[in-house]
Amino acid sequence: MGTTKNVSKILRKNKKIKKIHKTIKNRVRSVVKYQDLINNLSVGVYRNTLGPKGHFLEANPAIVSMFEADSKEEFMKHNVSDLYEDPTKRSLFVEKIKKYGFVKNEELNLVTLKGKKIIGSVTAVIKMNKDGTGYTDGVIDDITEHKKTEEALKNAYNNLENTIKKRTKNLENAKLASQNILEDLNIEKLKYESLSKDLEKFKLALDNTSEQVVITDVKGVAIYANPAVEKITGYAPAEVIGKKSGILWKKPMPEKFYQKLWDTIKKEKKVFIGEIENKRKNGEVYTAAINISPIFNKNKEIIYFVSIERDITREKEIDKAKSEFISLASHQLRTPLTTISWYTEMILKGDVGKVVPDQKKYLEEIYKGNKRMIELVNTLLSVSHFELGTFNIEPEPVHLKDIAESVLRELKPQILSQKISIEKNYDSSLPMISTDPKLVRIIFQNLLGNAVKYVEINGKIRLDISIQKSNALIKIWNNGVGIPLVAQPKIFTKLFRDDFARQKDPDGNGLGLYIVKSIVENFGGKVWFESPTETTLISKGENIGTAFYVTLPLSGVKKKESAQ
Amino acid sequence: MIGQNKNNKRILIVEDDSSLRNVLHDKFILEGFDVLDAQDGEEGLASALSFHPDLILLDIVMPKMDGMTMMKKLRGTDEWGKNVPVILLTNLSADDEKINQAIAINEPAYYLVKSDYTISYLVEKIKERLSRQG
Repeated sequence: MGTTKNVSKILRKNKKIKKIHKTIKNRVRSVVKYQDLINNLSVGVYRNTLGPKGHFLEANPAIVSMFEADSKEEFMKHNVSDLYEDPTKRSLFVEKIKKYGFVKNEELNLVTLKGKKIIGSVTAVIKMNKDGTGYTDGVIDDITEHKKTEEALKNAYNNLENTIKKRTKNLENAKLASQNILEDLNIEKLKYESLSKDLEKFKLALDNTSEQVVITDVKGVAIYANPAVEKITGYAPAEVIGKKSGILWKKPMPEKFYQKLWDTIKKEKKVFIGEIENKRKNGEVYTAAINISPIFNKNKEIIYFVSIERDITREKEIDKAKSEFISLASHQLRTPLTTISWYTEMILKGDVGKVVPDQKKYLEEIYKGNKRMIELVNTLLSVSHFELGTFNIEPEPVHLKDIAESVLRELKPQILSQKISIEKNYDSSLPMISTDPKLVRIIFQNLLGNAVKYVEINGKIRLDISIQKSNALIKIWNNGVGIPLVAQPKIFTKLFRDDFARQKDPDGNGLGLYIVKSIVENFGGKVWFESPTETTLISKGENIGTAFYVTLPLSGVKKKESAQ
Repeated sequence: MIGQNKNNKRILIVEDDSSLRNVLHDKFILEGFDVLDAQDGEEGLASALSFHPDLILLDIVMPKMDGMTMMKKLRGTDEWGKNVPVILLTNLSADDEKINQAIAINEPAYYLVKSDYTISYLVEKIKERLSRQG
């Protein structure tokens, strides 16, 4: 009986051992399973102590290769703090984990055994023993790449943010700019509104003026015509606009006139002022005073022409009537003047009896007075001839100096009695000019006559005839007192005589220079004078006296038949 | 009074203004000419053709028949009429169309603006003209 009990005891112990064996086997299987698990993980798994340096108690293959150790043994030789880029940071980590009992996703700057810097993300728990010692169990992930990506993303984000900031700033600037533009536009708008109001006033003025205003483009096509156009020409503004101004007027003037008109406004870009004959719609010819101005843009190009016309037909008629009257009256006056002249002459000659010396004196006064009247009549007739256009121009080749010399001979008595010295300079290269000698004679008679009249005893006169460009230039200078500034603007006007002239020659009629101007301008020349004031000098350095200048085109003048 | 002294030259004055006509008449008599007077173109033409003066002083602006017309007619009559010397005396200026016409259609003629010349000058001119005629 003992054996069966022993055998049963042994059998029961075997069962227990088998159970224990099984349990141990299961446990070992479990441990192996967990070991496998931990060894296969790609995250680092470790256990290390809590000291400031610390050492590893366990490390999985992942952490070993993470830190580029050749083996687990090599890895575990190192202190935990060795793996820190800044070993002092280890104590901070230990403090933290002690405080909270765990860390989660703690980013640490670590360095491998080969010196490569990495960033690890650590999640660990602390396990404290009753005796105060402890260890941490943790997982560590190499997030270096992840960090790099994060950094790149951050940079990208920053760049994006900057770009957005920049773009926003640009947008704001643009907004400011457009606000400014809007403001400027508003100002412009106000300007235009005020301009438009002014234009309204101008338009009102143009609509109501009796002068004809036509605005054309640079080709001469009318783009605006005011109501006065209809009153003057008979054509309504609508009929005028869009047409080449000039075609409507049927161009009764000679072609040369229109040529000169275009040359002045288009080529020379100057204002054209003149008189023009046009035809009204009903065929009636009328005379207008015309003023055409070119209008320029900023680049000095012509963009418009503005033409202003005034119907002066009535004025012309009145003028003509006046001249005709003067002409008629002057002719009539000649008869009684001749009568006085011839009868007085015969008495003075003794043809009708002896004449006592005192009687002679008185008769001579009568004769002189009469002669003056005859001269005045002749002058009036010349003037009215010019104004009516009833004079002829009969050109022939002349030497200007010949006519000048002849006039000087006429003036010899006065020149001698006044003891005037005359200096003459004739340019020998001056050719003959085809011109009307009797009219040229009038020019010299007036200018040389004046020079002799208005100079003192022993005075000086200089006569120069020279060439200047395409003209003959006549200059007559004397060293008299000159023409006072106040009289200068009126010198060439009709019947003007300044005080000094009146004093020197009370008989003068004030028409001479007017006639000279008419003749010279009719010949296509110019006449002007220089009489120095305190501030000007006559060219060539004289500082006293008066110099008259006349230019006459070398090309001469054309034959002109009287306009009647 | 019409003198028929054959040694004197005979002048016909055709002028409508009596004052001028008379002073010219007196002057020419003093100078030894025979003088005929007419006061318009009609009278003047008749006188000229009847008495064949050696020279005619002719005014232009006259009533009945003016000087231009008379001269035209005169020149168209006969050989004598074509050639008798005529001096035109006028108030019209040298430029006047009428004068130009006159000079154009009528050679030989002189033309003088009355108020511009002395009566002595007139006499000189006449003497000069007559001596040329021979």
